[in-house]
Amino acid sequence: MPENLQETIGCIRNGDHTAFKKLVEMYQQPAYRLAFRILGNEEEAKDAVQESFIKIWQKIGSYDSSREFIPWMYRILANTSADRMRTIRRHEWVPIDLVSQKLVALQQRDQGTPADNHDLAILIKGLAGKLPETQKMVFILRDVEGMSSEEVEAITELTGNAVKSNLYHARKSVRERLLRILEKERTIK
Amino acid sequence: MNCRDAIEILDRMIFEEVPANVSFMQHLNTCSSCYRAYTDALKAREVMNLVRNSEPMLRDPGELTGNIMAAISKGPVKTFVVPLLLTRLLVAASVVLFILFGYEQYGIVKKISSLERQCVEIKPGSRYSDLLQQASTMNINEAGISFSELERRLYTEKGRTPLSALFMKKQLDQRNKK
Repeated sequence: MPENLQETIGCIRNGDHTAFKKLVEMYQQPAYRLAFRILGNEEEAKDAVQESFIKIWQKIGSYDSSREFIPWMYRILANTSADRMRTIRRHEWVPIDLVSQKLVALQQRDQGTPADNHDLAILIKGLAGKLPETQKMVFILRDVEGMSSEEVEAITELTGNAVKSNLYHARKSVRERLLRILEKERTIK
Repeated sequence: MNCRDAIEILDRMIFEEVPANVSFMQHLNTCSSCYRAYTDALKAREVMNLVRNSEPMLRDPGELTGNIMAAISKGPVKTFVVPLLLTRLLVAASVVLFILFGYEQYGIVKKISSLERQCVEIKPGSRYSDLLQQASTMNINEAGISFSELERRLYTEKGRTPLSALFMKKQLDQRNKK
């Protein structure tokens, strides 16, 4: 863990609000990215990030400093997002036509132009929206966020074999969806 | 390489970097259906890369930071961690109490079962009831009479102790054994 982060956490344990604000500013964007990819909704993702950082503040006393901080933080975020996912419509069905349209829009935007959040949400939901909760979590962490298997295990608290199994099934579903979306895209272009 | 192996590589290619494989490329040159699957896999990989590289924009990060800081400013961090030794002592005490309670309950149930068996024996026509008939002028061959009621009546009738009924039964059993 970088020394700066270690110092920051030490200060937060002592109730230092300034140090905590620094942590929030450092990690709120990557936290928002993960929450957005899990939930597929801007407002829900913001709420999940807010709730997660409040929990981090409340639970900082129980953080074991011998372990990595980032997986611990992401575990809280992943669990909070998963809880929110259950309260909203989990298996949101998105028509293939719409997903293909959004894919075309994202591909045709100018380089350097940020992706439209709504288009991105539709695309992610189109690929992974119908996956069971654990498969979706593993897929997002591993194949979208690009985390290693060890990091995914630390965040989800699954065994190595469980991660592999969930990833295998998730990829199978996503692959089928991808090929259908691409098939539809050909008719749009 | 056969088509099955080639498809397996193509499936992985969509989601991760797969090292170059000469036999795989040679198979693609000879198999048109695998080659078509290869072009589809490349497009699918592009979509995955698009999803990975597209950063969702956090609108107004300052507002989010402000909300978080306002929520936590209600009080200082309070943590209470139960000492491990205390937890272990509590668990050990719970186990001991459970065992003692269980043993006591077993003793009580055993005594009740024994008394119930004795009550059942006090039924019309049984030797016990015949003996008691001799011992008392009362007609105690009444259906449903409880053991404690029988003892109470014996006590009233003959001034005997409540244990007399049990004593007489014991004597009867000994006589029967002889």
